[in-house]
Amino acid sequence: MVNNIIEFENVSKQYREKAGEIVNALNPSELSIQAGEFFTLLGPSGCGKTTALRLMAGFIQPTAGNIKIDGLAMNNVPPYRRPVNMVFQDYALFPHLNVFENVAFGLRIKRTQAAEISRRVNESLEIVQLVGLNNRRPSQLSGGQKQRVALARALVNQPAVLLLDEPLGALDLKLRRAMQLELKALQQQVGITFVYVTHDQEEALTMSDRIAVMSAGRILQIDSPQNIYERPTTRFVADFVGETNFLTGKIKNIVTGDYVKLAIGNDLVDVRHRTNGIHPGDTVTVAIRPERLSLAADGQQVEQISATISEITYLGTDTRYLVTIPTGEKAAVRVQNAGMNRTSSYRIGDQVKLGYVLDDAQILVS
Amino acid sequence: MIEQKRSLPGTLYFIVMMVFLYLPVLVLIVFSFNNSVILAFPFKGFTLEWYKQLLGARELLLAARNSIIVGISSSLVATLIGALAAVAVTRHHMPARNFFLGAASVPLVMPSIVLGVAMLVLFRRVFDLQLNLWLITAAHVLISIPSTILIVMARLADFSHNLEEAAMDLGANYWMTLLKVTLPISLPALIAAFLTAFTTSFDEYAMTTLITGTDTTLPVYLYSLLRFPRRLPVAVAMGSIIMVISAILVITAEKLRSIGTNRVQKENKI
Ligand SMILES: Nc1ncnc2c1ncn2[C@@H]1O[C@H](COP(=O)(O)OP(=O)(O)OP(=O)(O)O)[C@@H](O)[C@H]1O
Ligand SMILES: [Mg+2]
Repeated sequence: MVNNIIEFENVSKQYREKAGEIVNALNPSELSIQAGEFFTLLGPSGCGKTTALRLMAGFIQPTAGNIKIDGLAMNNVPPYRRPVNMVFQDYALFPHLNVFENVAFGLRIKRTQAAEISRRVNESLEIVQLVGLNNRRPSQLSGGQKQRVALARALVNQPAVLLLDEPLGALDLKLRRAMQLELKALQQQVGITFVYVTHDQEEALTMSDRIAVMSAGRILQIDSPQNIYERPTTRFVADFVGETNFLTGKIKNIVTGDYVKLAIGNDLVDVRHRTNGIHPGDTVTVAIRPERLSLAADGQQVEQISATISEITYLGTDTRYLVTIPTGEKAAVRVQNAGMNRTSSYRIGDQVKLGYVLDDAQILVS
Repeated sequence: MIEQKRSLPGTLYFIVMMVFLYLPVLVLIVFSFNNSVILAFPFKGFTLEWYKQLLGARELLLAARNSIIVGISSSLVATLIGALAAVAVTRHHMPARNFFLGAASVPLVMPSIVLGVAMLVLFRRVFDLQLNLWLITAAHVLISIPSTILIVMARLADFSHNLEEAAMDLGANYWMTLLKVTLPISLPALIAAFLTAFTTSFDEYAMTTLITGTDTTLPVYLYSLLRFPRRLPVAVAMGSIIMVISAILVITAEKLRSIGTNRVQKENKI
């Protein structure tokens, strides 16, 4: 049996605005986070990620539903009695305390012995690779250093779960990339469950064991990074994570458990049958990634759709083609510029066949 | 920063301003060392006589002691009340927040002579109390509260509520958080509020004179001295000392306030 460290049972959160207006920050949601995993809440600004995190930390109470941490109901358990610690987006370091005292804060509150405080604080500062700055004030640190102090301050308490609210948001791109890898390695080293909030899909894909994609107060899909990318179930997820083509097709027949025969324009193609609740005659949307499409002459590919090339963009490693299919819809195709130089083989206006492998297309529910 | 050229009209303006503001103070201090009972030019010579007499002026020193006691106790109470009110206003959901703030600021705009009459009626007619220093202290608390609320509030509004949440997240309960995070970070503002309240109380004349019983405060006593011209130079000496101390207090309060503000602003820049 998997051990769920955090569980949301039908949890929702509404904010009451001053004007009496109600904001549904989180619609009733189910969520199970397993012990030891790197779990990411991914979604655009305002979708309710911070709300979900603050519900876990106990800064706010759910309007309805139950939150369990390590099997215990957390209704009315204040933040200071929960086995979780948070890394804030603006770090929230105490300006009146130096680095050592910032990290020691939690231990001092718990009246830990001085010798142990000193040992554990230095240990966690070593883990986050910040040594020799113990006497500095937060105002004398760089953004990256503040970030490390905030991490150490949370880790030193050995929480069951570490909550991180866009912790890399304030860093420049290069430092951010480096910190992503470091954070992931750190999580594996300490073995603590991480719940990570970000609106950066690339960050989510590289770091997470599982991702929950959110939109407008709803959790749309919870899956591994690979499945979020390869098997998005909704148009929103397919669109938010990476670039995707959406093609409209009509279902001809379904070979249950195997494949679906689909008409796109005048072409008949197959798509792997993975989606429930579709029937012959339905009009559906199919998602295919640009790099999973290929261009070829007639008859060279298994699943093929007629198309006309309408735009060619040279991108260095790749060439991006924009093609128009007979239904009028457009699709992007990314072809790697490797081996034989294919850039010169097509011109705008050429008639081609769009091809893909059966498993690379995905029928969306909505 | 734009480099500013010194212009003649600007310099003149500055000089006129300074003379206008500080000439009276300067005259007072100069005359406190003048060897004559009559406060007029020309100077007769330098003397420390008035300061010596001051040391022997029992009633005057008593009034000064009263003022200090009233000042310290009313400022402590006003700072405490102001700080709690500021926490309530900035950190908690408070119904009728704006009404509360407006109501608390009334003593700031109400003429103190009117307040004094109101107090006198309240103390003597409504409650039938003997006028004493405690009542003066209470009245001074009332007029100091608006400034203490505003000073502490500005500070609390300045630093992120996240800091308090971070403390709670790290295991501190409400009171621990107040003690270990909110208070230390607000300390400069608390001291500034205290000093401001103290100067308010120490200066107060119009209202205080109306509710003074047998025990009098310094400004009230000094005013009564004006009836005895021979003792005037002693009052001037006392005035000079007060002026210098007040200036030090005000400058300290202002420094503390800006230190606090700068620190928070630096913190918020990531
Ligand atoms: N205290 C509050 N009172 C009223 N509405 C709020 C409050 N906090 C958040 N909201 C609203 O709830 C919704 C979700 O907010 P939340 O902070 O969870 O978004 P988010 O996903 O973290 O966004 P971001 O990426 O911008 O941080 C937003 O519409 C927001 O305006
Ligand atoms: Mg947020």
